[in-house]
Amino acid sequence: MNAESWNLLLRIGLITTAGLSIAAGLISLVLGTVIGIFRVSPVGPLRVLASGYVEFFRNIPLLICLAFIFYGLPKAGITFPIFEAGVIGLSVYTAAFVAEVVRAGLQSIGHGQIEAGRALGLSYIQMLRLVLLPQVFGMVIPPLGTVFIALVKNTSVASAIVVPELMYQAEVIAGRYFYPNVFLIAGFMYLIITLPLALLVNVMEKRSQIGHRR
Amino acid sequence: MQQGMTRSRFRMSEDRQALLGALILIALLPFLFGMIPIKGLLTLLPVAWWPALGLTVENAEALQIAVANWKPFLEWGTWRFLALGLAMTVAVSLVSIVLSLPLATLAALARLSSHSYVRWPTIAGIEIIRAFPVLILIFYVFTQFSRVAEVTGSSLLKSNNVTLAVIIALTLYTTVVNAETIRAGILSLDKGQTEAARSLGLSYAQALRLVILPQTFRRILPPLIAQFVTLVKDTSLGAIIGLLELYHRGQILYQYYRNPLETLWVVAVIYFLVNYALGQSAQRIERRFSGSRRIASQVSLEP
Amino acid sequence: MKVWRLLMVGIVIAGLLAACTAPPAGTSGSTGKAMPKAADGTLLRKIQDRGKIVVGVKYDVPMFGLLNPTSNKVEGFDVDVAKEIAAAIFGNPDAIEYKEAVSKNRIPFLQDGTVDLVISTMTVNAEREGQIDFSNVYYLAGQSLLVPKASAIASINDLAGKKVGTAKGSTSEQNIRKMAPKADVQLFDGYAEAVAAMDAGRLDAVTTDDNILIGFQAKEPNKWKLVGGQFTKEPYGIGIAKGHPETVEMVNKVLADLKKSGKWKELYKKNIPTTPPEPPIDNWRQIVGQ
Repeated sequence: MNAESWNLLLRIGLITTAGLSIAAGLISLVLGTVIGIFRVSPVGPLRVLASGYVEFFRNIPLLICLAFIFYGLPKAGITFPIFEAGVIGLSVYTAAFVAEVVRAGLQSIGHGQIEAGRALGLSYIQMLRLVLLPQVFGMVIPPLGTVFIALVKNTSVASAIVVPELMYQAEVIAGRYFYPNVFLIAGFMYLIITLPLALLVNVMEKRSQIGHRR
Repeated sequence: MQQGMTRSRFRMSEDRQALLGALILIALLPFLFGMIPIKGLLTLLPVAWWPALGLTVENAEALQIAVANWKPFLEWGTWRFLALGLAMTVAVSLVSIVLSLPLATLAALARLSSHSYVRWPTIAGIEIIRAFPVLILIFYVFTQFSRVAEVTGSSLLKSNNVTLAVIIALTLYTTVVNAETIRAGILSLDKGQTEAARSLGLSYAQALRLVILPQTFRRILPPLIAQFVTLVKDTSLGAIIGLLELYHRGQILYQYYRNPLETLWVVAVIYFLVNYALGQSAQRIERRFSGSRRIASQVSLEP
Repeated sequence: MKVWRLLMVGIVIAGLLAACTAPPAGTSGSTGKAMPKAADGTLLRKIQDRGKIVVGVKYDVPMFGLLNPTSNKVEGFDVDVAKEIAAAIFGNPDAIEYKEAVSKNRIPFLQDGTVDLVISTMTVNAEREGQIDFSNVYYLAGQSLLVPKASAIASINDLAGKKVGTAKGSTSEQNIRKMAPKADVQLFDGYAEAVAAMDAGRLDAVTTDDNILIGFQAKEPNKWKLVGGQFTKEPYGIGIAKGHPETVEMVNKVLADLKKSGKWKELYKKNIPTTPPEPPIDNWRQIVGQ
């Protein structure tokens, strides 16, 4: 058993997992926010399509999104490199959950504020930018944290489309050195990534509760 | 806010909007990725018109490829093949959630226990398993299986039983998630209820069995169904170790017919329809019990 | 809520369909001469008294051991060898109970007596010989390369910088890393997935034992070709639990008859779409030069 190449493989895996999580996290944050805003937009067709997006991607397995991009899209002449394929699949999937959180945040803001904004003569865009989004972002950070923790765990599925992340390396090690406990080690490595996120969510949740206490 | 901000003519319920939107999206995908080539379809027009429409022989070939790719879905055998996978998916999900309920109830009670030597190990166990990716759990259980089998010679484990490994891994994961739901359900009940039951002379166990748990389960039915949707999606991960469920059968189809776009689209639509129906039933139940205080369904966020 | 009800009906129908799938067909009568009973207490005697032989075969390897989804029967070269053995023991080629033997469980299967024989594309090597006994070599495979028809790759020396796919945890992975260290090796959950990735233009070659690759090539001869010959030697043997010399002897006799009578080539032709070579020699050490 070669401990050195072991370490190297797991380290490569950890870096790739972190890269996947950060890239997909940022893209899904932007995409999800846009879709979340569309879901409550005054424009009917936008609202219908955005709700449809959320409904569709929430109800299908992530594996299908990834396989569609990896095996399917090249047939339509669109070939993304492996890592990018993983990022896009994860982003498209996670965006649906981000959109739900953003929508819930927007809808929780009282009617009074919206009417007040209207009365001040603000346009819809202005109202979003100046009144709603700033409030919403403070409110949605804890649930978004939960979404991103799930995203980190979900990156493991990208091993099925040969993204060389943690799970993939664990499988390589398990196969090459007949050492199945490597999955336990990899599991705890995911725990190490998600733990700080979970703590942050906890702290934020407590703080927002204090803020809301009357 | 939605009603407040909209002045449009769309007066549909939110559910209907989402369903309509999803169906539109599903219908658009084949056109977006050339599974139904529009230019190819136009080549069905008389050849004399082709130059005017900018059509070439290539477009006609694209149509032929598309027809070949969709052809398997005109055959009854293909649907039977997929139906067997759907049956496996539903069966594995059902068994896992049913097995998880008693375990989750025990775990929830242990977590609420007043003895710290029961409470803390339970909390640690729940948090660790919850932090593991489901795929890792599946692989770990699967690999431990063949080891346990070698040591004990158990014939149930020995056959490298993929189905059993997936069920155990999913049951474990679902147990910790449901334990949290059940705990929240118990906590949401009025404290007075337990006290009232106790003052009637019921023991703690009797109070649990007769008063607390029945009410809890009625309340947590919607989040349990939401968790079932998650399970149906998670079962697809079993494909990676060879479980012959819906997604894996889809893989076998596209590996055979070389039509990954079309097959994955069909399989995605099947998952969508099943899970959408489950979600709807969760909402109906939620509405039926809306008189009582309820726990919001969690957004299911697993693969 | 009609949709919902319709779906429930759909799921129930799917369940019924699953339940209705016919179990594998039982033995069908075909007569021949049974061999005389072996000595008491031997494995062979146990098999004879039971009236059928339990054989572990692959269910997912085309041409060797494949569960045919339309007939629900296993078929392939390995299965036909099993039938020859059953015919020799009982005079009835169908006196067999098949068990699915995957790479991970087949040796434990023999050790705990779940199966009598394992005929599942199993390479004989010194490590495995420590755990179980093997018959003489009955098939010689070797690792090779499957590439697109128009590919310029002609041998293992052309793989530098190329994307080569194979399965996770396979010996093929270790071999290709050793023999083509500059190749970009990508690991999939199975060979069919790797070929699907090559079909999507994501790989330059897929590598594993040639008998597996021939299956893919035969299915799509206009798409793929095999190149590079056999750059490893994988002599297949029939696995038998340790300590049953009479059974090994019996199996070896059947194999010798197969090879000598020309029946071996017949079975090859029946299952494998290439010209049959000469049957392999008996001794695996001679083949791999150990």
